[in-house]
Amino acid sequence: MAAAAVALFAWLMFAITFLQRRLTGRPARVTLLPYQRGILYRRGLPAKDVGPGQQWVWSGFDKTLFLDTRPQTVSYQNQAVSLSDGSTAVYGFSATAQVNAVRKAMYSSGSFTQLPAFVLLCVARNALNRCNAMRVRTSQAEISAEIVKRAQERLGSAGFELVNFRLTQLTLVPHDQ
Amino acid sequence: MVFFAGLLAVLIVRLTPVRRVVFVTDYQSGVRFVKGSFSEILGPGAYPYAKSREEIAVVDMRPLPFLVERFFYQDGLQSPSVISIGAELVVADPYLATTKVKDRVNDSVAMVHDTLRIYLGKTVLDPSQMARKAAADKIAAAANAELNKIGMRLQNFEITELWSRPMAGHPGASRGAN
Repeated sequence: MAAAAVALFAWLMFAITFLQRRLTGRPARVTLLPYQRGILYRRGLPAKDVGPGQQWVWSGFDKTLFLDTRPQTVSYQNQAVSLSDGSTAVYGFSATAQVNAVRKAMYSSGSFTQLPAFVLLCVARNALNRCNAMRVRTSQAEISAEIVKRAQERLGSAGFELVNFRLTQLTLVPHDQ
Repeated sequence: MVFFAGLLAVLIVRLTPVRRVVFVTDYQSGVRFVKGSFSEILGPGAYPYAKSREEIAVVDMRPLPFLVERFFYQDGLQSPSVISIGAELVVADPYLATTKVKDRVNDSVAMVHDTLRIYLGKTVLDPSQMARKAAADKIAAAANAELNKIGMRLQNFEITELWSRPMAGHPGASRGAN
């Protein structure tokens, strides 16, 4: 009698485990490092933000996507740009940006790690293309401040913070070149 | 007997595969094919599927920024000109984007280059900041007409640099960027 009860219990446990694995998957651990932040998606929809540490998820309908919040540096040198008066300038910059809003950053772009570089290249080129040679010679600090202001706006709306920006190079190309 | 029943149960549980699931998050779309034919577009969710007869292609619908820098061309008046653009590529139709091209991003960028070459060679753009938005809209519309065929679309198209060498004596010779 006791043996039959044990066998029944074992088969019952087996049936429950079998069904549970088919329906919900199995519990799984996800570990986020101190510099990682993520979003737990449940059945495809964002359920909650997750920070560093271990999280338990059901492998059948949960998924955690995370990103790296460490500052990332972008540096571009020897970029040519046409100025408004037809002369050409060569510029370079170095900047650091970091994620400050995980959801915004995650949704901002399919390749959000490249977003700071994209924004800074667009903003810097656009700002310099508006300038003439005289302004490039005399107002480099103003140009740099304008680039920072516009980049901060655009990066902020994409969940990034511009930590620093430095115009490392801005010179006019002589006409005979 | 009980021992062997228990052992059998444990073995079956261990050997039962955890179901195969495709996750589609809210910024993705899934394109489900059953027995080689298109079945449906899937929204956010966790979808179990039978690998032997189903396939689910997950398409990222988030914008993908790209740049075209220092694109040299001759405009409609044969003036040497240069343009740089920044834009975002997005998937407009997940089914077309999955089935029409193998590499939707690189193919789309190539199509944008072609459109720029064709469109800019036939027109004369006003480099002033006021006119740039209208010019950007026209170029984006021309590019989207082509990209729609493969289920892609351009958005947030901006001209970041534009300059044309003024034609001596031409009425529209004042062509600086300001």
